Amino acid sequence: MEAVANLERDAQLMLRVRDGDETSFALLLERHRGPVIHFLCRMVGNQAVSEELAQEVFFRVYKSRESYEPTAKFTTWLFRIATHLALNSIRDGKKEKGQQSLDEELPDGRERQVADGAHTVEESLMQEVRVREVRSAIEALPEKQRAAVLMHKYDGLGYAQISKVLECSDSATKSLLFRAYETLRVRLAHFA
Amino acid sequence: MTCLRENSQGAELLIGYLEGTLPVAERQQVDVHVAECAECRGLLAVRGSLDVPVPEVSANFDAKLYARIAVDEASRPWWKFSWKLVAPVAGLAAVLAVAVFVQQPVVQMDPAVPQDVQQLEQALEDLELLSAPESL
Repeated sequence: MEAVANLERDAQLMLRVRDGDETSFALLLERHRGPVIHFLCRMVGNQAVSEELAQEVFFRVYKSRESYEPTAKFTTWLFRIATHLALNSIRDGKKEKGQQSLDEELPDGRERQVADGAHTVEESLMQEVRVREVRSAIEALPEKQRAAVLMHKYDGLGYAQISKVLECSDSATKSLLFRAYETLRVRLAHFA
Repeated sequence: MTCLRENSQGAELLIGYLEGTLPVAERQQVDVHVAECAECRGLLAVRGSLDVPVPEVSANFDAKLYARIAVDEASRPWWKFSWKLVAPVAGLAAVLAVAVFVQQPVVQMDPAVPQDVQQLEQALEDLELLSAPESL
């Protein structure tokens, strides 16, 4: 019982899901839905595909509840599932025509609206260009570098945890992160 | 001076610096280098320049997920249900089955004949068996 009390909160919730508590699954979904979808969205560059993949991630989490053992951090397990699905999706070329890319215009010619603060027209245009450049620089990274830098930058995972997600050594992960940031530095130097 | 970006140890130092996990001495070493190296300064700054807005999550995301789970659960065969959930019920059923079996009488008695009469008849039969060798 003491061992369970010492577990991180997510692992405790997942153990309750394992014991049939649906409310705990709803709490886990509430906590991780956003980060997982945003990670996938940045990985595959397509909102519809990212939500489809996120459905699969949480479906797999629920399906695996009975065999769940808290041997690693819950988020390590969660992001490992998400990363595998994203990499497979990218490799399968699942980004089909007709699905909306984040940088595509809507059918009536309008730009996609995303959550952002208030700006003047000029500032908005500049911001839009910068956002497109950043997105395209991230999308141009090799898949594993992209996954590593997204988890590092946006999801607050340290290199040690990223190593476990990507199933490689700490040293290899540091190297992935370094090469990714170095590529981004060169590519985005004109914004500095 | 050799740039930190030019070898793997320097690269690891820069990543450690970004994460804030370096010991004081190594952090100071990076600080000294970065003060003079624009490339390394740029590398440490690029992480902060990656902030881009992301789209809102679809309002029906959870509903779609729960619907998929419900369909999957409904099509699940009974033998795939969790033993962790089924075990207590199965255990109770087993205990009840054993209790019922134990309470079954070993000798079937004729329910039409009163129990005391049956016991008396049994006792007489036993006496006859005891006296049988003498009569031979």
